[in-house]
Amino acid sequence: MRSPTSAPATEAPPLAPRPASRSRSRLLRQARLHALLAVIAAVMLIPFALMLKAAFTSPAGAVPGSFSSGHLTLANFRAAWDALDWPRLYLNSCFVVLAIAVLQVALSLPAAYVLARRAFRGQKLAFWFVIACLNIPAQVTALPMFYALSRVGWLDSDQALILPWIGSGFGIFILRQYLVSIPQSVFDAARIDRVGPMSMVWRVVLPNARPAIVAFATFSIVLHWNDLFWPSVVLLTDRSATVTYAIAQFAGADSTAPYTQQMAAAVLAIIPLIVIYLVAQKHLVKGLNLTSGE
Amino acid sequence: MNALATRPVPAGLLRRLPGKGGWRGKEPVLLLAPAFACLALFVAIPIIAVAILSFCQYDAYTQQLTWAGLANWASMITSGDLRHALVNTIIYTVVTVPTEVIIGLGLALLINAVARGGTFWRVVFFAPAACTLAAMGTVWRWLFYPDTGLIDSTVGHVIGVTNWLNSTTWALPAVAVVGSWFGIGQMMIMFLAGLASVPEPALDAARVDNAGAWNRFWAVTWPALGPATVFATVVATGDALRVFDQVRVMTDGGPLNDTATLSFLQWQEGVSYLNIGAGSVVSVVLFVLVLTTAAVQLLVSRRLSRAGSA
Repeated sequence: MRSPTSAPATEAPPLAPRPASRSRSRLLRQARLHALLAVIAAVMLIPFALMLKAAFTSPAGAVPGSFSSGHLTLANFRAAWDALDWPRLYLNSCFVVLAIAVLQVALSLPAAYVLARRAFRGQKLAFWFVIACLNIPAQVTALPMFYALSRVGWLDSDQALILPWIGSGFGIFILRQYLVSIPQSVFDAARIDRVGPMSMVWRVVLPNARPAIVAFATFSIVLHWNDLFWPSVVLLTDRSATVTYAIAQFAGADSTAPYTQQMAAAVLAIIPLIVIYLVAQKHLVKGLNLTSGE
Repeated sequence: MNALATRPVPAGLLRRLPGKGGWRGKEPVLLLAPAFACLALFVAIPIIAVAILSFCQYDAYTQQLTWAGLANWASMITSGDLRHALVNTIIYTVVTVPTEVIIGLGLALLINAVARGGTFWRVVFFAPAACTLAAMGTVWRWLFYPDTGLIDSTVGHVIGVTNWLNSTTWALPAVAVVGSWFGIGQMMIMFLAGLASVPEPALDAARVDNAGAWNRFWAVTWPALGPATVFATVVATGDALRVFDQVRVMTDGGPLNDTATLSFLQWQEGVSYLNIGAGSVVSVVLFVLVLTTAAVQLLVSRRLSRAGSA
């Protein structure tokens, strides 16, 4: 792909047939690269293959943990579907991750705008506060939150899953980094019009920060959909169970469900995320890279 | 305008001023307040509270919290569980971080070298990282199933290690294998972003000088990847120190607490056994470990970047 520019730089090739043989060797090299990648991919995707194979294999012929040759069946999915209230799990997971993402953006965007675009006393201190919060793992603050939530009677509820996450140091940080890179003229026009702070954020900052918001929201949704730790802290029953929490209960270390049924449940658990991933992988990747693009 | 805003004028007077001067002084506060209130309530105050809780005793029946002094610390330190979990967490981190970073870098270099189909491979190799680790952890538990599981029946017989998850020696490495499998994709993405910043002219110049792929990597690519490597290492370390998901679904901390990491132990003590004081001791130790590691990484990366520019 860079041959047009680099070819003239290599001092006139002395041998005539060289370009042809070089393009063939390049083709061979590319083929080798793809073959190597395919081999590594085959190894890394084994867990997916085993999960799918077992999920579709009749429990009678299934050998635990191997690609056994039982006949194909949908019985595992039927059993796994009946064992858990899937529609409710899906809905609850969707509600929780969307609520977290929306509230995180709603709170982070105004703060990020102020930190990026306004000079005020204590700005540096405010920014360092964000950085400090961003570096505190949720695991460390879990027990005080657990105690506080139990005191106000919010354990085992959706708000216990959502509220602790809505103040996002990470969200403020990456939205700020993005807003810093936008030309000042975008904001100046609105300031001359004496736009109030709320409509400034809503009408000027929001549309301009859309790529960063989408990337951050995708990142947040995947992160919280996958999270097992926090639901394990605040949930006691299946009342507000997320998909991840339910699968860990159903197919966890002390599960008594048959092997093939556990694998069917695992498939059901990751399907929504696979769909989100395939649709939004570009945004997810951008979200990951925003973190490093300082 | 600024001088006016910072002078101690009554707030009512400012509000009555015409035009934008009325809200300018309060604007930052107004826009920062909701987010900062949540950060204070859900992050800053709990981090102080956890230190206090580590000196308290919680009675699950009366739901009373009483001052216990150093009792939790004394019992956690003498029981050995805390030290065990600390060692497990450090071993897990030391094993997974280099594995993820090196394989992630290798994959990124391979994908960066293909002329077509790079996006396809990126999607394929990031797939494990996008999937629910709790669900895939259960699949891995079956892969490690004694005798008939795919790992025992293939590599297990070759290297002579079987029944990983029930072995006090090999359960933690098994958990680390799964953690690495999950983390590689994220590292790869970060290195691909880093590779985009490698100076193309320098690579071309090296090619003209007939520098082999190996030399081109060490002379041009690797130095340009410095920031990406530092960042990937920091992220991988942060994730490793907090490991919980696959421990919960693969081993539940066993056998004999040999896969109980700090995250898992604090959850087990504080949430499962409702021993909030003892759990908080573990939280504080985890926090100190995270801070120390971050400080060391900051110092090392500063020194490296200084050495690189000298």
